[in-house]
Amino acid sequence: MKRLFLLSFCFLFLMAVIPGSRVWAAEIGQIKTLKGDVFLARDNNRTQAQPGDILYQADVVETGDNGSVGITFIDNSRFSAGPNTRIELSRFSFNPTTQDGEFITDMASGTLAVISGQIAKHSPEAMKVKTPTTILGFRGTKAAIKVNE
Amino acid sequence: MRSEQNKILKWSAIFCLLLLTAGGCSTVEINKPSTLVVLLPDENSPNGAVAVGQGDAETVLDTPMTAAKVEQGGPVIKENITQEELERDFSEALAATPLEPISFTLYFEEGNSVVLDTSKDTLDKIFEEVARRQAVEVQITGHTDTVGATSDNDKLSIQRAESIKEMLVSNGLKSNFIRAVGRGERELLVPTPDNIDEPKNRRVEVTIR
Repeated sequence: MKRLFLLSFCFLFLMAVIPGSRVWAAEIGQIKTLKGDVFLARDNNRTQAQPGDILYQADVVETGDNGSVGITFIDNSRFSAGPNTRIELSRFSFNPTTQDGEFITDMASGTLAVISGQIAKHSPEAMKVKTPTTILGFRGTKAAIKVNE
Repeated sequence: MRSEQNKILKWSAIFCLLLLTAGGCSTVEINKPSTLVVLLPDENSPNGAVAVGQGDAETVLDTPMTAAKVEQGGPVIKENITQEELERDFSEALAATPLEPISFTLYFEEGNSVVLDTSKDTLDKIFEEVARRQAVEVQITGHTDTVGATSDNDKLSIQRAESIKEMLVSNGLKSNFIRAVGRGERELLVPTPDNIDEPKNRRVEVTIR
């Protein structure tokens, strides 16, 4: 019994300290469409992304010269990025019951089509995309953004 | 001889000028980061808008197919954009847009988790919708009316959600993500006082993403 307790303690401890373990993190969205080279950077790991990959706050999504990717978020927002795009999903919170939330993306380069979801519908401008030259606040809408570095 | 020299001088000058202009232009393009944002037509929210911030100032885009261009430290420049211009910049991004999430509602008998016969067609529609998507998530949320105790309704709502999940899974639903939750009487479709038997509130909502 004691040994079992110790083992489970060790397990929990390892899950908590191993970088990249996402035991306590909440899913914010999933990759739905993907073409060419698309990378997912998380906790200093950079991996080739696949459709169905689950995304978390602070993830970075990058596309190569031939890459494009479509993401659906848990508030029904949708992003789709063209080639040579880099976005960081810096802040995301959403309460499905109250529909309160915040969604802030940092876009460094490339092209991005945005369809806002329940976060922007419930609280206008709680959804923002920051680029090197401006901050865009979404009031329930569709838009396309291009950033030239 | 003299005119020959003049000619050479003249052409060299023109060549240098061209070089300078080209060099100058490309320098401007490379060094100045800029953002272009285009408001797209949206049949679901015709009053949509994007606020474009620049320092303390804010410009609002509220007419579809208008664009704002913002250079580093520069003003926000509004312009109209054509479909061709939009496609030139955004065809690949737009082509990658995921399908719109869709929700279905199934209704239940009073006080139990038996789905109404009239809601059974909806199950077929759910299967069709799942089949045409990739990396599909199915979220099943159970609800009750306000008859009975809140704690009983919490249990009943999760039973309703689980019964739909079971029907979908046993009929071979392919999803990498299927989740059933109960919301009890917290999210009434038709607002009622407590202890009201309201058929529209006895339901399960299935969202396919």
